[in-house]
Amino acid sequence: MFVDKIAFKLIEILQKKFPNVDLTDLDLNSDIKVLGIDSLDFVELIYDVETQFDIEIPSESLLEITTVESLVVIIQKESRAVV
Amino acid sequence: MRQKIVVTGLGMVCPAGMGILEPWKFILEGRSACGLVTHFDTGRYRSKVAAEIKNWDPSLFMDADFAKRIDKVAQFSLAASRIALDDSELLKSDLDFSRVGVCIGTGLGGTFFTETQLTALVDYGPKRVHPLTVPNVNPNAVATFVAMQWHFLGPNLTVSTACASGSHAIGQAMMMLQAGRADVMLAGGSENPIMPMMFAGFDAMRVMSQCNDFPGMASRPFDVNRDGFVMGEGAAVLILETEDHATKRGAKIYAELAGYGANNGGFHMVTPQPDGCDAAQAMRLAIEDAHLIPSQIDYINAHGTSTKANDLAETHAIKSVFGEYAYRLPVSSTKGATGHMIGAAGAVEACFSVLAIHTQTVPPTANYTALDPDCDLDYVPVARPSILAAVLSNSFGFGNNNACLVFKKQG
Repeated sequence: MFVDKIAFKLIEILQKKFPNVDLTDLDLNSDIKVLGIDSLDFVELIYDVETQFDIEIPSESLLEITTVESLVVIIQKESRAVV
Repeated sequence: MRQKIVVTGLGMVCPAGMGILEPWKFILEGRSACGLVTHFDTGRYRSKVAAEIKNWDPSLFMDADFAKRIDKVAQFSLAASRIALDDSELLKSDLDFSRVGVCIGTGLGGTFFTETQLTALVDYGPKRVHPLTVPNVNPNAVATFVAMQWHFLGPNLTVSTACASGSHAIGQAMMMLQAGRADVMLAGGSENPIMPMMFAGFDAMRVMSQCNDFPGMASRPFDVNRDGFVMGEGAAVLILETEDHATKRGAKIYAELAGYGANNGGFHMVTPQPDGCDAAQAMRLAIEDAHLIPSQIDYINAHGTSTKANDLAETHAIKSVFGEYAYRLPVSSTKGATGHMIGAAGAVEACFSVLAIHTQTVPPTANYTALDPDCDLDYVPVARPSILAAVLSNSFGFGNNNACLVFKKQG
């Protein structure tokens, strides 16, 4: 899956998950923390991403997720792994 | 001298309606909220009848996005708490939040998450089980979400004693207040039992009515043709306060919560003692705790589930406590109207008991039409104005868990 396609779908997931957060300025370099999410929100987000993309994100990869881009990279990597 | 505990707010979300007056009016009219189950397909079930809350919209009571993340059982307890808080005007007063506690009962806990996530596990594997499963399946969610919502920092408890959970929760909250552990307690019960697996479990025990052709008549406590209980859903919460605290803030007082009796029959997982001796003892304990004698009770809101076994055992128990006076004492079960709301039943019936005192009216037993020769007390087929100084509310749960409460007219 192409990066922009993944990013587009991810933004959709984020918008649905955090309807009260303004995502207009969100880009690939944005820190996930700008969403103002706590640890429980974070595992929910990962659950939604796994379900929507039909992938599995290993727990050790969670530590690598800091920016939107880092999450996109992991989604891309795991999508390939599935294929 | 022990602190007097008073009721200063009520809140109900139940099949008979939302709020206070709507369900009370429904009860007094002798109507029944029982009908065919619509929450899921009951094609292969024996019983197809339940008392459902129709068109449930949690966003009327809480943030819609938050509601999506919590189980329906917690939505119910939050909604009932909000109604009761508004009624009591507690949040308008100068409140020490560390002295406000919550004690809410539930028999089954977060059944929506339990059942949907079990399905996800079986169908898609462990990695598709939702991360919010644990905080929602935990029975204590019904009380902790209430504390989180309004920042109530006092003792926070969940009581689980099957069908008596709501009454036990109110009784335990009363003891907390009497012991000086809090000034205010939100107390009640919440249940979301009309789910495919829970319903199948009760169906398998053959304890639910199979009056599928006349669902509105299915819950008929004490009637000779009763054939089992009808499951209900919802929650009720009462605001309990020490009299000092309520008086100081100028609260309106509905009634005094004067007595609590709790015991166990030590007999069977689901069957009551046939002679009702343990239920009788629980009633005596509550009446003594209220410093009353049996003849001072003016009305009993019975457990009255509409099962053959309960209604007969309860009738025996009432006769053994009240003797000849039992025949002159109005006894009614509001489960004819609301169905059996399991862990919320005792709480919603506590609300009706308080309202009976507040409005000086005995609520009727809906659907009571034909006398059972073995159940020959006055089961109040229609609502009746009456002088009510003290009311007893009975709850008898599976596992012979008994809890009785006595409410007194204030002043």
